[in-house]
Amino acid sequence: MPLLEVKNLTKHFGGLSAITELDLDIFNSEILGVIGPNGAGKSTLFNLISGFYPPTQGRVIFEGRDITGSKAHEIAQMGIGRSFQASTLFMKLTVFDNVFNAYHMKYEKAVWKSFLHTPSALREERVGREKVLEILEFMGLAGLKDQIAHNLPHGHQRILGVSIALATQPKLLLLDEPLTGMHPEETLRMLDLIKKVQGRNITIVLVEHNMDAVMQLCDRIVVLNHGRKIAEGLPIEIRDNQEVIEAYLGTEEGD
Amino acid sequence: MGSQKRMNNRNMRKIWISLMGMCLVLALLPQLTGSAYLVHLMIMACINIMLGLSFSLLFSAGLITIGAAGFWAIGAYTSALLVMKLGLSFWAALPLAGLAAALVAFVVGIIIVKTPGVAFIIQTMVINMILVQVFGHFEIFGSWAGLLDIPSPNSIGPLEFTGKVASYYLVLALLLVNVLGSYALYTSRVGRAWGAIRLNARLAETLGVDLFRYRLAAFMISSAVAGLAGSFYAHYFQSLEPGMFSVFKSIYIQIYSILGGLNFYILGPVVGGLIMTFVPEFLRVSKEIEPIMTGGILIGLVIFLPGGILSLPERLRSFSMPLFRRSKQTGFSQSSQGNPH
Amino acid sequence: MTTELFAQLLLNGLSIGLIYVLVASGLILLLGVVRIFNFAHGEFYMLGAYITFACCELLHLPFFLSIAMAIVLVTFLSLFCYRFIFHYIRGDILLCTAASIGLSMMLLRGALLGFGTQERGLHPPFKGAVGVGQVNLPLEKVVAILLCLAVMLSLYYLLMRTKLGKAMRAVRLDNEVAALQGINTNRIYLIAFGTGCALAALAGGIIAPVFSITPSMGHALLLNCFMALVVGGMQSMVGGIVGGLVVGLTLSFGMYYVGGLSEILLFAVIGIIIVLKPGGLFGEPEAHE
Repeated sequence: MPLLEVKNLTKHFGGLSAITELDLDIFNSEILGVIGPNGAGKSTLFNLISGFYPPTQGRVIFEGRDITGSKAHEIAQMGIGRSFQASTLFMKLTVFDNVFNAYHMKYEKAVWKSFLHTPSALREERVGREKVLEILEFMGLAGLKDQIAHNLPHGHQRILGVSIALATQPKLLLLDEPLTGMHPEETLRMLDLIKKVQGRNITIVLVEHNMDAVMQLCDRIVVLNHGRKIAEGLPIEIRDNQEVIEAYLGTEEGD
Repeated sequence: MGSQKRMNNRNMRKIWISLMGMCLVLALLPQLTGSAYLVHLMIMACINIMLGLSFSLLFSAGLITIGAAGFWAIGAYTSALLVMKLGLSFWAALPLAGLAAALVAFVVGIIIVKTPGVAFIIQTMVINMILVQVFGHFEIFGSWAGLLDIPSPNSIGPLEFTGKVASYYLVLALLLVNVLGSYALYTSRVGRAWGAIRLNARLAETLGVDLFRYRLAAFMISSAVAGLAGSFYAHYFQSLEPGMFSVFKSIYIQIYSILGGLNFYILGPVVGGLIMTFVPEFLRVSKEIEPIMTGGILIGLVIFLPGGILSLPERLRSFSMPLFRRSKQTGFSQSSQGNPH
Repeated sequence: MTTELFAQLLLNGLSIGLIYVLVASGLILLLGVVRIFNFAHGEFYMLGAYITFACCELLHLPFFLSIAMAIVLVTFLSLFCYRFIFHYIRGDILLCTAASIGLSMMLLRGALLGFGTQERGLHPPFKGAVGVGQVNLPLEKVVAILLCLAVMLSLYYLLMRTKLGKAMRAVRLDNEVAALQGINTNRIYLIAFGTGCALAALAGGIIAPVFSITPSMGHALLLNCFMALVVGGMQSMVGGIVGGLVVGLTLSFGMYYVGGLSEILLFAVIGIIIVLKPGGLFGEPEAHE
């Protein structure tokens, strides 16, 4: 059974249809790439899945449960995490605190215990801090843990964004253009990290413009254009797919 | 960066020790000074500090209110009426007053918390104005003349609460409870969630934080604190009048936090509340021009110390910072990370 | 109700309402272009009224010259305030609140000391009444209304047809882009601030012959102007016009029908508007986070 199923998904904004009748299946432990020219609806797809707005039509089913129309924080609690295009971080906090905030959902003790600072609550917090350190080590940010996020170079900020999403212990991770604005070194590093994340048994959906990266990294690729799926398959198939090539060339010439 | 953290810990310890010392002085204050007037001022300061704490509770969650005086009024009138009309003891009326304020905050909050930002600010202002009108209009609240002859808190055994000194200890205890409660909140999961909402609500949502619930909770708790302060106020001043609870008072409450330092959720209102209570009094040597001087000092502090008085140590440490700092942000001031201290 | 009564109430509501419109327009200019909220705005209005009074009664200057003097002096004062206060806290609403409250304290006390606490009345320079149909309308209110309308038209012309106005609108939309287009944003802020405060002073001068002048008149007015902004939305002049008129007319007619409850009536109306349209009737709705 697919981890996430998108059935007949449609989203209208005013008169415009951002996504039309999209069907998509995402399978456990794969890295799925979503590509397409600008305006194809990739970010809209992410926003719909993570619950920022409800679809006009269609369903989203996660682990067999219909989550259509659920609120963003509920969906996060169910195990879908995401990173954003623009570095959405807690800019004024340290790297450590950024990731520590993400641990919020994982507390099991009741809130009032946290308020009263009971020993069990404090213990839980200590465990949380250890987990955060572990994630920072995994992502290679441990040395920077006391730096203010604001001061990090762009590439590290992106990695931090992914780390935050990772700290929510998601089953499905949506990465929105994680490679934008990175130079080659940073790109290689990020690709490496994404592969490592997959190794932790986390399913990844990736929106990217960097074609080389997508071809290298993804197990499967889906291509969107004008809100519709125009191709789906293995990277080699997509690379030589005529429709896909035209879709990209079309926008280059037309613009 | 690690060494700076260590230094901060040492500094914080120094601050807490000096705070303990101050608390001792505060506790002995009535003995140290013979002046009943000074004790009265301290009581006023404590009330103002509590109101400032109320503002900070909401601010820590990213919400700005100019309606705190309205909930202060709810607490005051509820407590007064419970004691005067239903014959309850002050000690029962006090928590009930806080509860009443929280209840109203709940009913109102369900609607307005959904639109944070400028809309929320205006809505709190309108609610404040409506409340003032309600308290001024109906007979049961004494209309515009207000309620008079509100009894002092009932004695507990040999302890009497009619005098200034006893009232002072009472309000100090109340303030302490509020401070401890606030501190516990800020250093708990709740405080962290509020901080996340304040810094980046969208990101907080992705991390599973239920924005609505946490904002509503902040609103209710903040109002309850104001309500408790109101209950004490009613039985200390023993008369209430709707004009005391206007929007202007709400704005003054904001100023306590702004002066002290918006990012210091507890110490900020303490410092700001003390300043705004005592400075006008000290300047009263020239009663005529006192507001001019207070206003001037206020302006000066805002311009030279936009981070509040408590930002002075940090400012002095980094001499490279220009003396005149222009804020380029639009909307709310979100200088640095909120500090529970 | 009789036509006479209706006309009087209407006139009253319009004259007050248009004053709210003028002052609110000033605030909108400050908010939109300079991104400042000024709680002392009401004090500029009050000073406008007092200076007009002083020029008229004490210096025996003609009415319109007195208003001009009031505008000039208050504008100077406001520019001074901008340069030394608001310039540094532009964009930060909380700091603006604190600083402008301080300014308000200073100006209010200054006026109290300078002019005394008793109410002043400016003898209307235009005596008599205008006959419209069977109704006699007091002349000073009619003049006030006409003056307000004239000012609003000039403001419209300034904002829509002049280069300066276009620059102000550009800065309002996006000050960074405006700067890139070669607009001297600092100068625009200064001019916009001065204009906004001039409007307040102008309103004070216009209303001086109509209602009594007290040092606290600014405070009361500001609260009502705020109501106008809430109703109409803070984004546009149209909102300011609608808001000001709604508040003025509601209070005027409300005062007759329900007396003391008129304020509650106004707040109830506003409360409903806020719940349905948090940004005000002409405001932009808050973006969902």
